[in-house]
Amino acid sequence: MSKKLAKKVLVIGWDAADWKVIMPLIEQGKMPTLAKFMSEGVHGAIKTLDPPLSPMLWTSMATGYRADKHGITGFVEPLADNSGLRPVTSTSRKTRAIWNILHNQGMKSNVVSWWPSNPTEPINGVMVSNHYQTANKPLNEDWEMPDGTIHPESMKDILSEQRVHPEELTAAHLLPFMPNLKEMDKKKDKRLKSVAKVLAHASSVHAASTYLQRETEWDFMAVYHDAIDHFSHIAMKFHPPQRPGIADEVYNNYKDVVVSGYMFHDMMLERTLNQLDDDTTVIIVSDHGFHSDHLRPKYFIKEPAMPAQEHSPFGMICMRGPGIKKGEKIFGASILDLTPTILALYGLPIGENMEGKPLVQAFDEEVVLDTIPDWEKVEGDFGMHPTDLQEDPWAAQEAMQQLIELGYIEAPGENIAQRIDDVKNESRYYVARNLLDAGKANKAIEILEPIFEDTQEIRYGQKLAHAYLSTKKFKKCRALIDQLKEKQLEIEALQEKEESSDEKTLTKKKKGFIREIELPNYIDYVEGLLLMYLNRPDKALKLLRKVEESAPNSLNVISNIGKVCLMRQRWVDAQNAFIKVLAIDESNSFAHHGLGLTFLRQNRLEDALSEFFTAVELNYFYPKAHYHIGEALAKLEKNVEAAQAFELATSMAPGMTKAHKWLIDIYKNRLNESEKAVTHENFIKDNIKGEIIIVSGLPRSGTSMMMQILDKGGYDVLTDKLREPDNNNPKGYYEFEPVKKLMMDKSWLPEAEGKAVKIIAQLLPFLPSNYDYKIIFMRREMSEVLKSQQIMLGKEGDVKSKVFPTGLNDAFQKQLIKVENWIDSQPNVEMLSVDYSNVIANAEDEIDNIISFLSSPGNKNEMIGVVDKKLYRNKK
Amino acid sequence: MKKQKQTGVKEYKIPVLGSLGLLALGDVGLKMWREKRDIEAATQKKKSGNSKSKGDE
Repeated sequence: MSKKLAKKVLVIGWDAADWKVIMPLIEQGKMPTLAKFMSEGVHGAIKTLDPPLSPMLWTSMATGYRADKHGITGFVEPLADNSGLRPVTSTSRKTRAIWNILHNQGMKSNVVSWWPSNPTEPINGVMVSNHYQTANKPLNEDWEMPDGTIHPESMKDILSEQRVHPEELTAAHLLPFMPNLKEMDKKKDKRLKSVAKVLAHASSVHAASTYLQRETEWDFMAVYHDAIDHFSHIAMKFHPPQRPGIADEVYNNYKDVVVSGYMFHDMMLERTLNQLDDDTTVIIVSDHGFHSDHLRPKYFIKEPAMPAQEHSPFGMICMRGPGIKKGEKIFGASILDLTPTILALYGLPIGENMEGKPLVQAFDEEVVLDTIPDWEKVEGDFGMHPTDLQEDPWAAQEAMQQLIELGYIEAPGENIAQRIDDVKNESRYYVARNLLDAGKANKAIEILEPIFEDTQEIRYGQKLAHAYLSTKKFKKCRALIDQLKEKQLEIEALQEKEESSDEKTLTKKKKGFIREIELPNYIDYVEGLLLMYLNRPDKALKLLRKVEESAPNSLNVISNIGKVCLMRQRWVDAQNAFIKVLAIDESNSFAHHGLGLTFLRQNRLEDALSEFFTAVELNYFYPKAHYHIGEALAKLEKNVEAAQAFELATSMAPGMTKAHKWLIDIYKNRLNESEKAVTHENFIKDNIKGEIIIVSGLPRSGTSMMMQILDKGGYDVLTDKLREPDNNNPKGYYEFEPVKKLMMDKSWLPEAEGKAVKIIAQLLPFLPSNYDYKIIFMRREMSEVLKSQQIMLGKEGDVKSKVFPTGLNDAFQKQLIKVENWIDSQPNVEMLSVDYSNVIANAEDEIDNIISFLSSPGNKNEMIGVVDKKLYRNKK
Repeated sequence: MKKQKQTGVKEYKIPVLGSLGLLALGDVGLKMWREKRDIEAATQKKKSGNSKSKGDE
């Protein structure tokens, strides 16, 4: 057993709490308790999971597993008798929660209102379910607690008294939330009633937890509050500053709801902390954030769980207590880390199959962590429901369906059955998204393929296309994108015909589409990524920009725009994109690195360093960031530090030849420590012989023109001029005959060292790995390439009739994908994608890019002079 | 294992209509407010009962 840092742990869950709301309140002195708490412990952002749906998330937090393992896959599940739906229950959870593990270890837990925890589990301690606070009857009627709300039964009466009914609340409670309360219509105003309900719920949970905290013995306590999330859903749209379109009256009525909600939580926290002993470690944590500023959504996509679109990907976490550092910030936390962290605090083994990590950076001493293969396989009493109560609701529903089909049971009404089917598909979709979020795209595909086939719902298809892309199934991705675009057109046509179509047919047709009509152009996003993977940056950028217009807050979209701009060496555009990402997520190491790179390339070395250091602070194992730190330091003549950074980069990525080359230069020429250069020289000698510039692409994609550009620019080119210029290539082919035998004979490669040589795309994978390659990859519309090839083959007739060999397009595309995969996987290869039509249309910019890529100056004017628009003959 | 700290509530004037501060005190604050409210309600009832009886006379 590893060292036990904490005697007792209290976890306070604040659903949707967000630093962006908290920090200004702290500055204004409105959350003094939390401010003090932060100064006495650690705090940081915590990354949520996709989809950010609370029952799934809080179960991941309590178990350390994602939804595919823990089994809570949405908000609702079918009733066992298939007659309808119910809120998710604790019996559907397939894995042990932290309180079950602690029960097994002989520890006592109090769990209050965790989502989902109904029916309560027979743990050693007290459990109050998430149905506890719900007032389902008016105040003047009996407010009974349903079975399963409290464990043990003996606590039922006392805890029942701690509940606050919304109708008990008075103006004194509600005025801080709604100062205009007296003028508001108390009977008609739904928001007013909602605010009262949320406040009553929070007060009930708090009263129960303060009672249990004080009056019972416990080792672990977990209290979940949904109020910040609910106040935010009710009123974040009215949170200052007032947005255009929000009327003054409604703004003034509700602008204080969110702030008062947070302040009330701070007051509750004060009471909770005052009741604690000093030996209790406290963790305050949220499951996701909530957009509160310019990132608040302007509209909602029509889909189930629509309110989750207001959630932001980063929540908050604070920890304080014995064994925890003081006044420090922690980075890179995920909600999956909560259970492993609690286990580590207790010195208990962490499940090796848990998907998070203990937040050891928060601990004030180094601990040796103990692990166990799988807590699920440990036998013994875990304080769980008896096995006959535990059930997979979907399996139960399927079993019921079989009985219906066999005629033993009457089928539920058509609407109910359809609703259950919809929910089932939606739950599967959520699990698939969760798997995609975890990088398990193949598993996501297994789920998404059948549900898309069954429903033809565009949202499912879009995620499937994304999953294909993630697994590099480019052809399937392309085909699905085309299919989805057709479907989109079909929907638009359907909308146009709406008035003329008979209602019944229309309803039937719209059933599958209705929720998709207002989706943003996610499919354009996936297509943009596909084009990026296929090294078509300009087209990718165009699509991603289009997507950004309708989804301006998407981290993924903006990050990828930054990435494409980097590919295209558009430093300022890339800079703007990464700044936008960091406005949403300040702890995004990728964006800090990207931003640093844009500064580095613009010679803003100090700024670059600052961003790179932040990137490695957030994500230490980041060889490229260490490499770029080295590059910036070397340019600042801080050679000792630069060498350290390059050494670190090569220790993390030994094949990083550029870092080895820098080290040789620094040790030999700058630090006069040649002996230290030996290891790196040996590496280069053994692994890399030199650099070769390669001009590549499909035949007739502009490779000869590029060779001529390089030639005129003063770069050495390797050509034997055996192939004479002709009408197809009036300025020459710039070929080198031995290249054609590259598959068999590589002996000529030393001749190419330091020169540019033309090699068609299909031959690239035969290049040996002992050279560094800079590949200028020419791109041209496939139809133009085919047309030009047919003409060259003397098949002008085919061109005129536009008859090309069938399958040629597909075959070339396939080959390109293969080549691109090869390029991606080679550490010694750098590639610049150059679009033939761009060179013709905008020669100056393209030549600038090429010179910058080759990192040795060329004669720009001569290079531009090569571009002859008259030779762009076979346009599509 | 000992129980948590027994923290008493400072001198506090309990308003009949309650307050957020009392709700934030948890079970103890809730109990104090409800007692005050119920006593006040009983007093009011008694008063109105008395005045009603007087009126009846």
